[in-house]
Amino acid sequence: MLPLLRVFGLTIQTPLLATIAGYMLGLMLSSRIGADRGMDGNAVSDAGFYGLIAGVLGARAGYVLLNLQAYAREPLSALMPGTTALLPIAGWVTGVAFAVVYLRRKRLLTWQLLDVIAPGVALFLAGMAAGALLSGDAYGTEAQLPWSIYLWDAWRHPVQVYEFISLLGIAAVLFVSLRRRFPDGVTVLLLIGLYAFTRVIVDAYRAEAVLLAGFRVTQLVGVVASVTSFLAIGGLKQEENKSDMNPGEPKAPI
Amino acid sequence: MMVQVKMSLIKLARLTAVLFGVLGLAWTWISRPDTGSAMPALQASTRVGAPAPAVTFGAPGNSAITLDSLKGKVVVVNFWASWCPPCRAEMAALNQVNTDYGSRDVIVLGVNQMESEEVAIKFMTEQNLGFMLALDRDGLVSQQYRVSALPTTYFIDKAGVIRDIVYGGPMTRPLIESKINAILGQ
Repeated sequence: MLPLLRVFGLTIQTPLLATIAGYMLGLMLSSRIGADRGMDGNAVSDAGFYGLIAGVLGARAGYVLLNLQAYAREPLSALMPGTTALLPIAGWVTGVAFAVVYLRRKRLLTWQLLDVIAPGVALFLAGMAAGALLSGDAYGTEAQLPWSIYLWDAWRHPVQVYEFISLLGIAAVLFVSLRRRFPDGVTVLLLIGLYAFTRVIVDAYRAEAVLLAGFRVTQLVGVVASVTSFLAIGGLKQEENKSDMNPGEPKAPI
Repeated sequence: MMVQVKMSLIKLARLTAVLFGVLGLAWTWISRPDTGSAMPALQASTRVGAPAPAVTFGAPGNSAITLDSLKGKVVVVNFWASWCPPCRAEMAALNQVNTDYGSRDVIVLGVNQMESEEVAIKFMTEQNLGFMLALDRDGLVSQQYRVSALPTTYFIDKAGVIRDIVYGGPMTRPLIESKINAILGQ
């Protein structure tokens, strides 16, 4: 755990740095893959970059709106730089919505694009897992294992590391799947299916969990998401087989 | 031939779905938390959601303040030093919050890190600060609270549980108020 790093008198929040590094790496990879597949790579990276900015602004706006009473007296303080006064859910919604609108305007929002960004998303999630390790968030249950890490006054399962390694593996699988002649949409569904199943396995070792009828909610959601994704992959292939037999039939947009 | 290959891929995807479904449900069942037995009490730790570690701070005049003695109040523990520019920049906001929220059982505890009592008191007098001063003379409390940069601020609820941590600064008054309001509203 190393939440802060002091470099030349500057305090750097390492979890944020790891998350941003994952995001930028993912974005670079996605725009590279997109360009290799004949897409507008710049548009892909622009959507990611603008989405990030919109996300940060949305997260701040969400926080200020949620605490309007406090900010009403000093409205200018809403513009103070910093990472504390942010509402993550508002940031996610704003960032994704902005990127979607941008890509729709550019007529780029297709299954093919979602496939192209899937390995990048895996890298971004790996960055978030690294960030969680640095901040000590989403920590594991106590365990005396040769690979246990000492965190929060106990030896624990390094669940953040499990997730990080799994996501690198998933990114590699997705990269390979893009080189195969699979129907559009398979790679992004593989990301959802594999990541969901990873969470089913890994979350068993997380110390904190939201429970539903005695079970971890993330595991239940993970089972449903992984099964649905692989059934959908089967469905996509079946659709492609049908269109192979009827080549004149137009493909359905997203 | 191609159609046959694709058909086998459909089967593979469906087989994976069934396999992940069965294995996933089995693992979810096996690894379910043991809710039958009483959950162990949370260990004191410097993370959000855990009881704040019990510490004793130095105070002016060779007296002492224990964190436990402040239970029943929302405590804003702010680690600071007079040489630290962001610490100085947020002092007025902390002081204002201490005044405004005093009647609602909220207290700001400014923990001076490793400066002499004279320096700390002189600074607080010059800045006209009225919140409670604690002294971490040897830096041991800062070490225990993993303070690796100044300022660092812990927001502790009335039960003594850490509800938020702000690394760095300066914090604005609305930001401090929003953190306190969130605790008071819980």
